Amino acid sequence: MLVTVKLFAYLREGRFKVRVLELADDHTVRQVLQDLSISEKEMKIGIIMINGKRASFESHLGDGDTLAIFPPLAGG
Amino acid sequence: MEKKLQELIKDQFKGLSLTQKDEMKLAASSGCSLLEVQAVAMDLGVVPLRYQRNLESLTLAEQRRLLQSRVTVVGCGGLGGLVLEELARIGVGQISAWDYDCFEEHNLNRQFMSQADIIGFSKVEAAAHRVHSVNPGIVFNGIKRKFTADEGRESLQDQQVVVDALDSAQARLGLSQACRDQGIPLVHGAVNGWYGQVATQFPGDFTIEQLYLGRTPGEEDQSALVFAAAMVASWQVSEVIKIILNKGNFLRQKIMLIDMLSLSLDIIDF
Repeated sequence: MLVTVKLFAYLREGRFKVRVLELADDHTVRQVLQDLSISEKEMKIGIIMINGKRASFESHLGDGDTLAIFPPLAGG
Repeated sequence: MEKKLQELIKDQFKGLSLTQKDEMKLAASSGCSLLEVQAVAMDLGVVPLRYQRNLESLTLAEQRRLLQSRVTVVGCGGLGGLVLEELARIGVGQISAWDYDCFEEHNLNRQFMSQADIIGFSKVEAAAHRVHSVNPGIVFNGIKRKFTADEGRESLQDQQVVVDALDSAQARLGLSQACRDQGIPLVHGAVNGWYGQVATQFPGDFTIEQLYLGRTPGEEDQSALVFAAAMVASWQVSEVIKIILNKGNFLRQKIMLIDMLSLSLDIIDF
């Protein structure tokens, strides 16, 4: 299946902004993020959205989905 | 007093504009404050020169409304410093600012109120000085304490908009609760490195909680670049002005994600 992955802020560094990935069926968000070497710590902070709706690391992805992850910033 | 002021302005300035020297003379001769002088002048269609280049983008009535509005800025650091400067320049009449901290050398890279010769000085006092030197008409109330929901809630009661210019998730959650309790819109901004985020939370919304509850984004030793902080601060001020004037579109139930390194600005429904 094909999934569009969008990364934001510092998660883009050394990775990408948007990329279409070919994944095995029924991949979870956590598996995708592990494939992208996003650390557990970064994952804990990140907000996950699938097709514009809030989702979790255990959510399953389907063909044609768009997965977005952004880390809320806190500095001032 | 105000009647005397009206007469003085009508006699001397009808159809003209008002220099800051005029403002000072009128305040002295009428016994009114500079803020009252600016306000009465605008009521009579006389434009204080300091606001002349706001007009056309803002109507005189809108400029007048800004002058009678009350905004609280919580945090006078990288975001708050520039937010305060912009609020004073555009002409928000009553500004309150919270910060318990003093300037340190590592603030100089981005905090507009910090200067090499005032390291160790109170941020709130520096802000008071700066606001007064930019626009002496502004009524500025500096609060040199740490904002907590319990301590700050009451002080927000009569405010129209609050600006979140804090630097930790925990403090932001407390501010969000206080604003919700008082039914006041909160304009949120945060920065990290080349990146920024902006959102506006209206009463009844839980945007800040959705962002931070159960998450603790690294707060210590965070890098922040000056242009990212300045950009976020400017977006925040534009939200404040639009809320006061009920004009344009708000970042309500949305979050704006700004990436100055790879040139992108995304607005996500949230």
